[in-house]
Amino acid sequence: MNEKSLEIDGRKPAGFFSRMMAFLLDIILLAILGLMSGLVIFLVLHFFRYKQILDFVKSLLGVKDQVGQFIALISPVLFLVVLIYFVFFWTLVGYTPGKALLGLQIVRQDGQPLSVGRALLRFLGYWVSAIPLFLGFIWVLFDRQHEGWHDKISKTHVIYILSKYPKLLE
Amino acid sequence: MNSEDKDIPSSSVDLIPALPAPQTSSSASGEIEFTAEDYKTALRMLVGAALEGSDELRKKIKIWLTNIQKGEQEIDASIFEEETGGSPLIYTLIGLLFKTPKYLSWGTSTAGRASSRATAFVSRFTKPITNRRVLGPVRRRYDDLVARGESVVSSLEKIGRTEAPPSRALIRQQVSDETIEGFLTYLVEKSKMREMIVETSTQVGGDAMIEIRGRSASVDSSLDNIVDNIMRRRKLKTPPSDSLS
Repeated sequence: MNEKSLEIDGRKPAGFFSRMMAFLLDIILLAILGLMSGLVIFLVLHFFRYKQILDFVKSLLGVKDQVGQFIALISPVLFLVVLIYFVFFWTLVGYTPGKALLGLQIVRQDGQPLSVGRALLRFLGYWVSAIPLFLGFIWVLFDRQHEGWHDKISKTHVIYILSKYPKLLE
Repeated sequence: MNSEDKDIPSSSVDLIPALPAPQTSSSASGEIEFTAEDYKTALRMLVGAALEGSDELRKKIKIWLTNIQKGEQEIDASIFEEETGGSPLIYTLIGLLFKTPKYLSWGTSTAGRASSRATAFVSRFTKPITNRRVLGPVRRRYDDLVARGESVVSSLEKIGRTEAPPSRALIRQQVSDETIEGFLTYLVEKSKMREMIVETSTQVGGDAMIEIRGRSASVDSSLDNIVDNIMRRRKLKTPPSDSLS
């Protein structure tokens, strides 16, 4: 897509539905990624008999059975996968695969791409938005600029990069 | 056969009488057009490869199993016990894998029995209604539909039975004549064909994505309108681009 023409046309903030769909797609992808990476790490640790690590996890979280071990092990892995996934895509291209599919991009308020620090701040903002019953996300629906709390915290915008639907951008 | 097909080694096509030669016609502008026959040939290759490949794999596995069973008595289980660390989870998973087909067949037969019992039970009550003369046309229509469905299934099966042998023959021919390499070279050399495949797939994916984006953006607009009406605020006429740039 022509980036220059998008900078002129595609400045409208993305709406609630598109953003929600993009987020759901990302979550599905992340669930698969997280499970796979967790399973791989668990099997690798078992294969090389890193019992100390597993015992440490076991003692840290007070789990006794193997399923509990797996869940305990997968939780930090999942968190890491989620963090890397969002920060990597936001800083590199400005959109995650889910957002790319829905034609959305995250930019700073001055239209520039996100730095790593701002991406981390936005990621932390996700939790701020999620904790009070996802009110920070629902805020997108009622806000005039379609900004969630995480957008406001990190001073970012999610915009359409639709160039083939000029009518939708009016 | 046109000039495009001359590059294919002739033995791969000529030795299979049941198969029509793959025809890739060229238009006046030099662009390659795929015909239904090309699709059929590609499909035959896929089906043939799958059938022959799975047969070959099954044969190999059988041989391996026989070899293993021959020397089974000499195997010391304690070696493997040590290698897997004696982990109960791993053994549970392995056991589950071996039990799955049994559970599946048991589950299927139980479900079958349960559904036939349920049907018999329900039909006992519905018979007085469904057997009435008033519902005769409906019953006949239903029977017709069932018969049509059965005929569709049987015709599909017939096609499958007719197509499987030539598909196998095509793959065997390809493998025995070592012409796969020639075919691949042909594909690589015909860069236009590759370009066309890439272009078509990108176009299909791109169109679908544009459609999804467009639809979700229109849902966004509708939601905005609803929220604007609820909150009794004026709709924004222009995009708030000033604050963004």
